[in-house]
Amino acid sequence: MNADTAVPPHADTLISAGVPSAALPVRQSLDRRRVYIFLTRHGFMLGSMVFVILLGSINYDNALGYLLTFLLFGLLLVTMLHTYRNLAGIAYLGAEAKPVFAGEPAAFVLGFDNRGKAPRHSVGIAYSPPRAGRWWRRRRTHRAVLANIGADRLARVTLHLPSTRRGWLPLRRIRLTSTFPLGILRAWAYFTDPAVCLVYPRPQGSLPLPVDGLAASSVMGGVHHGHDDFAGFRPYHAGDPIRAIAWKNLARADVLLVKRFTSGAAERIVLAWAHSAALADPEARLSQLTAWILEAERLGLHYGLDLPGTQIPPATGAAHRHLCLKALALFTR
Amino acid sequence: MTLRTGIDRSHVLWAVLCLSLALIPHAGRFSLWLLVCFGALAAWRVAGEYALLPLPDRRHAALWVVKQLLAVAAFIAIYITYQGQLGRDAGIALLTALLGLKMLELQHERDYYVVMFLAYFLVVTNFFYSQTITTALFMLVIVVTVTAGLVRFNTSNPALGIRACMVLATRYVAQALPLMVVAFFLFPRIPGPLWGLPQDSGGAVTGLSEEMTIGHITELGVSDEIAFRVAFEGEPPPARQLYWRGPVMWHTDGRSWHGGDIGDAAARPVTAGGRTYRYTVTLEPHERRWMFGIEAVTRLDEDVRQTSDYRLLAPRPVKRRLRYTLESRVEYRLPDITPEERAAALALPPGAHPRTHELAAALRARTPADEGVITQTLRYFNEQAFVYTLTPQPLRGDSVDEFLFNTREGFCEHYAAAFVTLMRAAGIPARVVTGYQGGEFNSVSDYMIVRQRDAHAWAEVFLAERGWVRIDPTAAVAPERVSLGINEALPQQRLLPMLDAGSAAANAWRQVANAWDALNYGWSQWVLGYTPKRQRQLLDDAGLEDWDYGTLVITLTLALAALMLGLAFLVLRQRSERGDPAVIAYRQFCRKLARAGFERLPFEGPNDFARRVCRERSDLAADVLLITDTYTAIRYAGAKLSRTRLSELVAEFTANR
Repeated sequence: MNADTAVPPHADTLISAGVPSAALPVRQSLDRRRVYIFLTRHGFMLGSMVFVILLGSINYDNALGYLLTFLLFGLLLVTMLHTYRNLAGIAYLGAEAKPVFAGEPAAFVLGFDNRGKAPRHSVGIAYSPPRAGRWWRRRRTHRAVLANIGADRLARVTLHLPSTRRGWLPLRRIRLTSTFPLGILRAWAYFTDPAVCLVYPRPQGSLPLPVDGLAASSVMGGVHHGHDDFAGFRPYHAGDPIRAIAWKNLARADVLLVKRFTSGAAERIVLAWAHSAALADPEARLSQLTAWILEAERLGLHYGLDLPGTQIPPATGAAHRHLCLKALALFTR
Repeated sequence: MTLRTGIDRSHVLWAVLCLSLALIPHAGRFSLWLLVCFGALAAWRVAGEYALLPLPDRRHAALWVVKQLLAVAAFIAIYITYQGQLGRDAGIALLTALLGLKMLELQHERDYYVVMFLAYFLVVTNFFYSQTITTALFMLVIVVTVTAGLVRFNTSNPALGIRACMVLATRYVAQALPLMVVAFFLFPRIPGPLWGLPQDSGGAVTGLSEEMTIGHITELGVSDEIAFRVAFEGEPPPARQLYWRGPVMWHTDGRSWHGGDIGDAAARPVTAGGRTYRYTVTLEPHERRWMFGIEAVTRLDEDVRQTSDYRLLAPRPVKRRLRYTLESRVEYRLPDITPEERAAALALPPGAHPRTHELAAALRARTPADEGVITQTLRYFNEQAFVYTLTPQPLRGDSVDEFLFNTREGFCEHYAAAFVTLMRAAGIPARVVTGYQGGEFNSVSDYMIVRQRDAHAWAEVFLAERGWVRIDPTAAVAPERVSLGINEALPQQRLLPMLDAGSAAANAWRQVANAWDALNYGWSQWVLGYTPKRQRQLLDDAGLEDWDYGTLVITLTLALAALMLGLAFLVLRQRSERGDPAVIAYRQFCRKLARAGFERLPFEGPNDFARRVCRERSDLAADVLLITDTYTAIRYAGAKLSRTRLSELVAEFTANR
């Protein structure tokens, strides 16, 4: 299944808003049909030991042996209720994640609401996508984050998912587990969530910023020394035009600085798909474009994007950067 | 929100504590070296936790080798200590040694569970030795402690300290108790054993023996241990008729008496009259076959054998508490003597007791009738300066002559032995009967306790017209021994020494002792004596006719399910959010703010929300903060009285100004 195609309509607004959306439609609560429970390895161990004690009690007709057998058995049954109770009634409030670059872990922040009067102890929360195939092949589990949620409290839990490629990274399903109180029984439950994280392409590529892509009126004309709106200095980075270097300053302070100008017209740049033609692999080209966008943003340039089917006029700022990166992330030919 | 990795110090300390606690009852039973070794291993582990000593883990391979050598050494030492006999004691010693070593490698989650579960298991080993109420209470303490350790291990919440875990564990165990009780009574009891008992299952038990050596019953005379308890249906017989018949002694070598097989034939019917007494005896295990009943037993269970000298024998040695119901009549006539019995009942060791023979001849010369000889003998005991005492002078030389003519101090066994010897010397068939006489009524609950100190020996003589007749020579010396019981016949010394007998404190003490014994009696009736037979009886009485194991399993399942349902109701009941007026009021407040453009976000706590609103609407700040503070005080600080105030504040609040 291609995850990129299953994009919920609200996902975009969720991310661009920058805060968790109140309109989030997800609010699921665990009722009894959704909590599963079974013995753990240790539960089996205890169970066999109780059975051995029972056999001994029968053999020796030992009344106290019987008492202990049934006390431990009763404890097992009681633990079932408490293990179940530790999960039942937890409400899931949904998740959000800020965009990441491919290769970085995507941090989903999940909200949980314990509306019960008892605190929830050590609830393990893990990313648990449904897996296809035979059950014995599906055993890969992701590391769980443990959360204690006080009575009547909310809790935020951050799950880190590996992001390998650009596009939408869906959370799909999370699993809550608990072995509290005795570790002999495990209760678990699933929440499915359409929440997604936008994964930008991995910024990569050694091609220099396409200077020939700069508008004719700017760098090529060599006229920027005539401008009035000088905005200050910033450290030199590889790829800065030589003409922008503050040579006088170098002589004075032995530090390579670059003069900055605020004039929009002087630093307009359009990063086009065609500029990365030196690279064969389309993913590598997207990575190169991503790297250029980061570079342009860092240089304070006004940059635009020209992709087959998508044109974004030059601008600057975090929102613009996101718009461009998102276009790259979701680019399809 | 951290991930737990392995075991930390508090877990190790708790596990060491659990194991040590579970081993306490065994402390007196182990060899000293084992205790010292276990203590040393525990100390090593604890010191290792505080980094005072290195532990045998991956970093210290040499210590790991040392540990393996220790394990081998423990095997050998236990083999030597218990002389190669792998019975109960050696098994427990081995388990203890291995647990001590296991403490050292307590590193992974799995080790922790193994150790804690084995701490549960250690409790069982104690039941081989003791099954008292105290043992059961101790079992509860250990189960709670171990459970608390498991709870602590399964929470990453630092707020849940070990004390809170103990509270939780106590709650869980308390909830498991009703399930335990139901399962205990309804679980189908299968008669054991499944694979046999260990060779060393019985320890030294006090009680009567097959042989009456002078001085043996005297030892019992100071023992407060319970021999058996009796519940009568209706009136009990008077105290002077309470002769609980035990082993019968036919043969003597002049010093000690023993049974022999002369009386082992099947019993012939007894002619009996008068009232029938029906009663149930709960016999403490004494490792012998005999059982006790009031003379003479006229009806008994099928599997109990009555011998020709009217002892009662169980099918096999009594290794567990035994309950049986008997009927007795105190006016009876035993059948005639057989020639073999007569010969045995007249035999005396040749050449022994010359002075006793002289006395017998003198008595016989005075009266020809057997009854006359008996009366004369009893009068002799009564009139001469015979003393009834628990601490007689030791007898040297010919014990019977020495007693009759020199020391004249003795306990019942002295009198019974001397009397029977005299009778035989006078040509009257006689035998010694041992058993118990009397018993103490528990005033708290309606039953009688017979203790080891009630052990007694008396005589039976054969008279041509009356058959075997019981003669108690002790009664001639100390009549109150028979009519009032041993407590009155001997000086008071068994109560707490600082209490004066008869004082209010002594009476109160006796009352407490009675209540405690009544509890023990109930315990032995309902817990220890709850055998397959008793279960069958109980279910028959409950009206469950034609039940089999199948119906029992179904009944048990249904009962457990019903209990679980009740518990589920208790445990899973959650406070409904809708019901809390504070929440309702706060929701109303949030709705008002929402209309003014402030939606409370799912992640936002009340305080965060209030701060956000205040930042943007400073004109509302005072009201918003007041309402929020009141609300949080109700919800999180338990300020329940402020609820109406909150409703009022919310009602007056308006965001549109």
